[in-house]
Amino acid sequence: MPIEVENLNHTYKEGTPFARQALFDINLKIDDGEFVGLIGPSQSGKSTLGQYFNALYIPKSGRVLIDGRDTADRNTDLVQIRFDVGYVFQNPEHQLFKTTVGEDIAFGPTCQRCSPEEIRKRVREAMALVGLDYDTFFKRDIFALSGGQKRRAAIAGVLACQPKVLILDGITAGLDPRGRKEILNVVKNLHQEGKMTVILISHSMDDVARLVERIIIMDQGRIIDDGPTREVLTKIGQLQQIGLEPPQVIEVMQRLRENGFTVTTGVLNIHEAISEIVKMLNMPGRE
Amino acid sequence: MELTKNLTLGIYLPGKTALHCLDPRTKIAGAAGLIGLLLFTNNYTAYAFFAAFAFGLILTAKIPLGYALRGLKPMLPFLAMMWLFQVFLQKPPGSKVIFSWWILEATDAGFHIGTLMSIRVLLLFLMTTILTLTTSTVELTDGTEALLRPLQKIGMPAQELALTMVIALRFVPTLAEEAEKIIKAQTARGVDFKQGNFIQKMLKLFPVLLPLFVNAFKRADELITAMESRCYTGGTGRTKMKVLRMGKNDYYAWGVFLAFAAMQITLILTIAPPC
Repeated sequence: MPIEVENLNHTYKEGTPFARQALFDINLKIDDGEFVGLIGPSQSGKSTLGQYFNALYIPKSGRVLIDGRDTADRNTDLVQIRFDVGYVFQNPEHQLFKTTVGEDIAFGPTCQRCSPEEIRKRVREAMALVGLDYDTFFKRDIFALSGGQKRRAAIAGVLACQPKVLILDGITAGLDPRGRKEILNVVKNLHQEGKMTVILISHSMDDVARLVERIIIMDQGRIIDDGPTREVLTKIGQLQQIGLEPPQVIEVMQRLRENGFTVTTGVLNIHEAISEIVKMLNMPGRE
Repeated sequence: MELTKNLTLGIYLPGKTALHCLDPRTKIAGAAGLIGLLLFTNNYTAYAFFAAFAFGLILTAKIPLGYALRGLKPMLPFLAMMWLFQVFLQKPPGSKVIFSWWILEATDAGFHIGTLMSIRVLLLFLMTTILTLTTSTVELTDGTEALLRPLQKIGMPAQELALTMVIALRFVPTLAEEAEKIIKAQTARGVDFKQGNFIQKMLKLFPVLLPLFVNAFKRADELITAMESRCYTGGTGRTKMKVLRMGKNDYYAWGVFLAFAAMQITLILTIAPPC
């Protein structure tokens, strides 16, 4: 289910004194099975763009094609597009509204008019995918969940609609390191085992760097870089210029280099950094 | 899907026009006076005159006309319903039936009563909108509080009342924004808010209202903590950062208001109501 965006513009509160253009002439293509990080500082337009991918916004200027279906076309079934492209919002409280976890996850499939057996099956599967134990959590009160569990329940609620593309907006915001790790593992599995196209929207470089294969950097409503993770992340100057912190390992390597050590800055995680440093230390001609 | 786009109530449009710079007491009392006049207005000419004055205010405040009128849009369905009730149910003695269908009969008096009432509600809303668009929330509190202060002697908690009012106004856009987000999250899970009959559409609002209320309570709780952590204890003994002072412009404004009121009252008294 490829997503294509052509010359897209977006203005908030158009026609009022508060009008503000949030997207400028965006062109983009995301193919099947890609694992993309959509990164930018706040107000860069990344969430706005994401909401075009599942037809929450309909283009007034430019085009958005989901699997060849134009979202601005009157004959396009927008509800179907929203089932195909799942969107998990930043704040799970905006999404969870039923009393129990099970009921809430069942909401999407109910809207799809699935049979009761099918709904039960999907709820069970979705809970397994995000690592919520069915027997423990099915009847649990939503408000009794921890932050990380709420977030997982919110993802399960979207997964139960069986999307082919999954958009996760600010998925790690406000979680402790452990909750963050758990959630990111869930996402990784969804991409690797579930063969889903996953788009992570985030302003945190560290989380995203370890996971995604392609990074799109946005700033002030424009795409300023788009390429394989390693390539984009090593342009430290560019990241710092728009106020994004590069991943710490890359910063360490950069500092080493500045101090005359011959290491590459193209590392994504701590293991690569270690082997690179070990390699440098073992080089002939060094004491 | 932008709820906040059509929302003008409770939003402040920063500016430096004569209307923006008036003392908030003048503006609040003036708006109250104008609304009072509106309640007694009973003929089309007087309403036209009032509307002209309202547009004059909008021009003075440099509010884009389209933006000011956009806020009226959400009220139109209610007004239409009210108008229909008036047209078909008002049957004062001596009125003529001008249209009849099935068991329903529309009278000329009903038509006039309905139309006048709709115009009145629209202008009333426009007056409040102009007030809030040109007055920041801080000024609104200060103004209301100052105006209510004489009543403190008979036990009215002026400061608290003003604060309550301002918090309510302040959170209208916040709640609208939040509702927008929740609607989006539900839409993303397959709720089609545009589809279905009236009752089906109403039922679809539950998934929106429930989280909205929960979040509103949470927000109120946070606000209380924020206020208490800054040692807010209520009215007595609080001083002001900006002390309100009436200026030359305020006296001009009162002059304009009195002149307008005199003309408006003349119009109300001299022209006979259409029914």
